Amino acid sequence: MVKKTGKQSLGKALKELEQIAQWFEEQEEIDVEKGIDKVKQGAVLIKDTKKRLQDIENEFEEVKKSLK
Amino acid sequence: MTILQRLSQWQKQEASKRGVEGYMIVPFGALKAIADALPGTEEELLTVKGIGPAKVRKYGRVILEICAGASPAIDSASTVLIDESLAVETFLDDSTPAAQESSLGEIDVATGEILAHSSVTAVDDVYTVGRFLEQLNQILGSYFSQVRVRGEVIGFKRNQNGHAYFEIKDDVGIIRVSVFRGAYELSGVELSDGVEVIVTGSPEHHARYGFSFIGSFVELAGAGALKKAYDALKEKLQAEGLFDSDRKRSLPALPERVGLITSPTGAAIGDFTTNVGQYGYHIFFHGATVEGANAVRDILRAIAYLKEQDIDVLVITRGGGSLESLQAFNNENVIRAIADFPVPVVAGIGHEQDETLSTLVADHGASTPTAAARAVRVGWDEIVSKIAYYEQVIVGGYEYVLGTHKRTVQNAGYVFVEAFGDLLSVFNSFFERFDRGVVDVDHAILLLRERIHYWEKFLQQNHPEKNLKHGYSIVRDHSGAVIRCAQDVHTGDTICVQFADGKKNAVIE
Repeated sequence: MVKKTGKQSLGKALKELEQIAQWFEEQEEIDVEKGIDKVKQGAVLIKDTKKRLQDIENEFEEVKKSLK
Repeated sequence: MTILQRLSQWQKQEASKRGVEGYMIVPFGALKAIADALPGTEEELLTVKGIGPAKVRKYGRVILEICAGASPAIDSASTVLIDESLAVETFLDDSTPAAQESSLGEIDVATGEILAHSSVTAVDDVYTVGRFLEQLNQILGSYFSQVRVRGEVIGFKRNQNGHAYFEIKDDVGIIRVSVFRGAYELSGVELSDGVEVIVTGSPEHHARYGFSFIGSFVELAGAGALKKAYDALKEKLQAEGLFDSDRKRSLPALPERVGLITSPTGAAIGDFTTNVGQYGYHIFFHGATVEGANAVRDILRAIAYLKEQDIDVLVITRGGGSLESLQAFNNENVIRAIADFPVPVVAGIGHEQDETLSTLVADHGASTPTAAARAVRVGWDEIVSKIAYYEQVIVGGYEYVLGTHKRTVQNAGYVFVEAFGDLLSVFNSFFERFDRGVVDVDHAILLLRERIHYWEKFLQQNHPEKNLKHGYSIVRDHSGAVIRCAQDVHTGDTICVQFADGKKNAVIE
């Protein structure tokens, strides 16, 4: 199957978001400059995943029909 | 039509007549080899790879006829084996399978009566034994194609090749049954005398050994026998450790490619697909009958097919049923195929009494198709429900950073509070708007970054250390707090004076 190009999978985006959140949770002292990069990444991911969850649909493929 | 096309056409018709797959008649590879070699005699045919004495005995004549250039007898265009008038008739009747079967005649489906054509013996008034048996078997096979017969097993034995031979009887009579090794093993039953069974198969009159019912599948009949077999198999597999909890693999948290095996017509497929959620899965559905004589074969075929696909998890599901209707899921071959599956398997099989052994061997056993769907979606539900929390951690985390800066500045005794207060409010308003989805993230971040740079530069330029170099000092008390007023210190207090290059303690006089 050919995956939709240009976009990573929803699961991957969510995992990445989880990691960024973990980064913020773990840092004792957050670098302002690094932080803003993470905030940006996180913000894009949040926006993207929320939107995608609204209009995502499952793909159903009948690979083989049963014989009887 | 080429010879290969004719052979293939014959193979298909023969297969549908016997209710089996084409390759079970003669594999396509062998047909190709035959078409290449074009054997003229049975001996030559025997040298073709994939053709043994049994195939030659069964189909040799027809194959050689096709190779000799004749269309198969079943081919409507043929005029070689049947006379002209019949050819026209069969051509007209082409759509009914019975008409295609032989030159002998048709079977009236309603009455079961064999309608002999007058042309049957047109070639010769006398049948050879072989020709008679061949045609007899064609009729038997087409009329009783894969029928199910129930009876009690007697005289059960298996020969050295693993084939099973026995008889089944009821109050009226007895029939001989042969079940070849492959079919017997597929059935996954242990037969012995006195057991009530249902055999699926077709009758055949063997040239030497006479009449026999050739079984393609054997099921136990009756709840008692099934329960006994269930318990015995459960005990055996348990002893092997097949149900051990340390064999269980955890399901992938966010499965995207899901294999699904169930009946295309049952309620389970709907229950599963509506309850699994919309998370952009790619569902690879392989239909299979889930009960009856074909179920084991179908399910095994589906498992074998999906084994080769790139999937994250496999779901096998069906609605509830009695022990009898769930037999396929208590079949040893099916259970072992699930155990050997390369990715985690979810079994969602309803049951009235005992859980099926397929449920026990699966990595995740659910009791309904809906519960199986829940097992697949649970990781998705969890992470999606956390998005709001992540937002808070990320935004809140950064807010905190900005807040820390604010405090640093405060500690240094400078008046950046308002400046950083302003930055915080920019940040907050950005995220409020972001939450409402009305903001262009890239642009907003750019603005925010510019603001931060501006304030950082400002902070650098006005950093206390810079002023220390100009000759200012910072005076702190013993706790490190900055002393801003003369009246805050008293005679005898120790103070700490910070210069640009270090600190010195002093005592107030």
